[in-house]
Amino acid sequence: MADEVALTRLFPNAALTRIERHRLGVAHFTANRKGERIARGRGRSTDFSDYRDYVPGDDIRFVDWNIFARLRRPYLKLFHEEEERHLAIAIDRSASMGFEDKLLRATQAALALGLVGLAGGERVSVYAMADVAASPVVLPPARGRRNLGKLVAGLEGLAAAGDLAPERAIERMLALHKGKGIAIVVSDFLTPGRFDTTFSRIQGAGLEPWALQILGPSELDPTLDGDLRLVDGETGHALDVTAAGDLLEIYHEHRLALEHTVSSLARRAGGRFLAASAGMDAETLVLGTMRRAGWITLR
Amino acid sequence: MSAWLPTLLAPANALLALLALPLVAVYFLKLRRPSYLVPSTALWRLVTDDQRVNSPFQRFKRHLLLWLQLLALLLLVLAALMPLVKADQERVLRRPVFVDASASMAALDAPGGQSRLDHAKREVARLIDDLGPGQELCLVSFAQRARSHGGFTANKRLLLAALEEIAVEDVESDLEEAMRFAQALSRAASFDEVLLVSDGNLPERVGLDLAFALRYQLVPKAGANVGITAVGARRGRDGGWVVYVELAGSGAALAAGGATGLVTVADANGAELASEALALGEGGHQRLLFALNAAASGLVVVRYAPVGFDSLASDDVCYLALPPPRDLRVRVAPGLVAFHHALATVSEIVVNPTTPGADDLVITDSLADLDRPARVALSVGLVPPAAAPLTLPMTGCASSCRAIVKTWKQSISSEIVSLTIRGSPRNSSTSPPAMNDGPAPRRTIALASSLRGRSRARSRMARPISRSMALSREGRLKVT
Repeated sequence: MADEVALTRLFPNAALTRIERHRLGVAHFTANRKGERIARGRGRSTDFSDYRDYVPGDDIRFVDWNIFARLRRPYLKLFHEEEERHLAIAIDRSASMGFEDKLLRATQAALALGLVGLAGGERVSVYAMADVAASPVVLPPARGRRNLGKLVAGLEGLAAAGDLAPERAIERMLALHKGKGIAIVVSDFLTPGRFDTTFSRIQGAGLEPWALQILGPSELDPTLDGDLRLVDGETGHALDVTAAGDLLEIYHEHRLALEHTVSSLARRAGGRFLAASAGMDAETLVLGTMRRAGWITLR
Repeated sequence: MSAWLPTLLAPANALLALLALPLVAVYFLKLRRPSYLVPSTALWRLVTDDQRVNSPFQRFKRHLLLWLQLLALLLLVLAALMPLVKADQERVLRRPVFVDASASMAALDAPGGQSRLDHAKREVARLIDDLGPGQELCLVSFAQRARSHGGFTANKRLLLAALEEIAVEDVESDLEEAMRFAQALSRAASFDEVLLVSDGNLPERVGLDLAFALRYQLVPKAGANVGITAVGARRGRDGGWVVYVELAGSGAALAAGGATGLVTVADANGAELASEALALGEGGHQRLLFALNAAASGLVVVRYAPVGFDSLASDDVCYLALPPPRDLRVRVAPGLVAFHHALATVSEIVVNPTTPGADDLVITDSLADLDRPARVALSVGLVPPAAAPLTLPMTGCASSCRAIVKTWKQSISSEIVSLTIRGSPRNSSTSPPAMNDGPAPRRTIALASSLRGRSRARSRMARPISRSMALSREGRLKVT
């Protein structure tokens, strides 16, 4: 066991094993193709779901004749439909994610979710957006655990660069992606733009938007003071701040307001939101925070 | 309202405000903010755009150091402009300052300390330093007399020099004289107020109508003091002198546990004639008697030597002139033979002396002799005109009425003559006699002598005794 080769530097093998035992939370939207996931809607699988009144036009093959014999009224048997679900993971790898291991936590979270998806029979695709020029595809839609190596290889090669805003990165992902399921956006969401339509567009594309915000410790609890010239890590633009120590309270108000905005928009689009610190251990993030939030559950 | 608007004495210094330009330039050129690389300035941009951050106070706070520097420059420029508010100046343009220079102003506040006059001078010097443009002062010192040390002037140098001239005089102060001087000043230059700097030994009321306000400034109290308040002498039975000395102490001396010292009487050469230790008790004053022999004539010095601190030295010494003994010069009118024979038998009386000089006693029955210079004149067989009011009950008497000296008592300030009047009724049927030869009515007449130079002050902490006051026996009997 001591000579066991690590599959990836992002997680120890033991952690991958524990993660693999989980599956994603239930999603509303499904793809047309049959899969291993039982959809919320009624389908043609062998698993019984419910009864409903018969209406003219219904297939009489699904009438429960035993019930008809007892009650003299026709009732239709409904069955779960087995479906295939897409899991699209969009990673913001702009320059701002290069600070304080934010991109590392993002790739670790993406690997964990991708592994859960692959092991759960989902069709997983990963996109990492930095700028409009580079191709964002890290892993094209793939299914089965055998694609774990491709996923690991794609994620390990990510580096922070560019200044593409998260909303534009999502637009690029939606332009490339086909299929219903879940879209997980991993970003710091530190952008001057607005996300009003971003999550709606994800929802419109048949994807349930899950937003994972990862911020560094210096962003969650800055210790700035005095007169400073803040230089933007993405754009290089400078911003003069006077008496920064006195403005920290207002800073926290705006940070929480941003978090609240992203969370509200994601939930309004039928999705979920989760905020995490880059200072947090990756296993704690996945097996603790995500599990408690219901993003993954044990099989 | 306009009186409160400040006047700028140096308006040209307003150009100093131009220093604000380089100050602002240097501030912004010198301002260096440390750069700090952050993942994104998006949140901080929201913070800087926040309305609370851009409130006027926050904008002010953003450059607090600059505003403080500009405020300091503004204050410096204001100081350089020398603003002046003419609040009191227009109301009091001229003000005489009367400084008490009487003997009590020499009292010290502590051993080796400052005198009351020093305190007064310091107050007046401060007044001179604070003198504004257009304001003038006139320094006047007063004791027995008031003296101006220059007229009204705004020249501080002259005023300070005049202030230095003021010195203590060993006499008491006369406020009435000082106020008369102030009235005379007001006729030459108008003013609304007079400042009086004194130690407070002033009469309660002065019978003068003043055309100006009198502002009184009291100097600090002095330290403990014991002084000679009265001294006198009279002839003793053995032909010598009995000198009495009265001393009094201030409250501070008694409160400090009493005062002790030595009172000595010495002749003009300094030879001690008598001495006695003094211990002032609770009463605060003590009277001492010294018996001197007949040889102690001439000038004698009474001196109090305190044990410990005494704030005023001028009231510790006084002088007393004791005239030498001589024969009594008596002038007897030729017609009064009985008087002549009777007095000639007394060895210490020279009747009708031939040497020039004033007579001590004139006994006469002639009005012409009453004009002779003499200390005492006795009229026999006539009523002198000056005594006419005292002899009113005798208006019914004839010219043969007689006034006979029964007793003759002398004191330091008065002489008392007891007369027995005898006479026959006037020869008139319409005017009944007021007196007859029956039981003679007796009258005791108190005759006050004139005491030149005597202090009018009723009480003083330390009353200097002048020599003229001591020579009270020089008074002349006005009535025979």
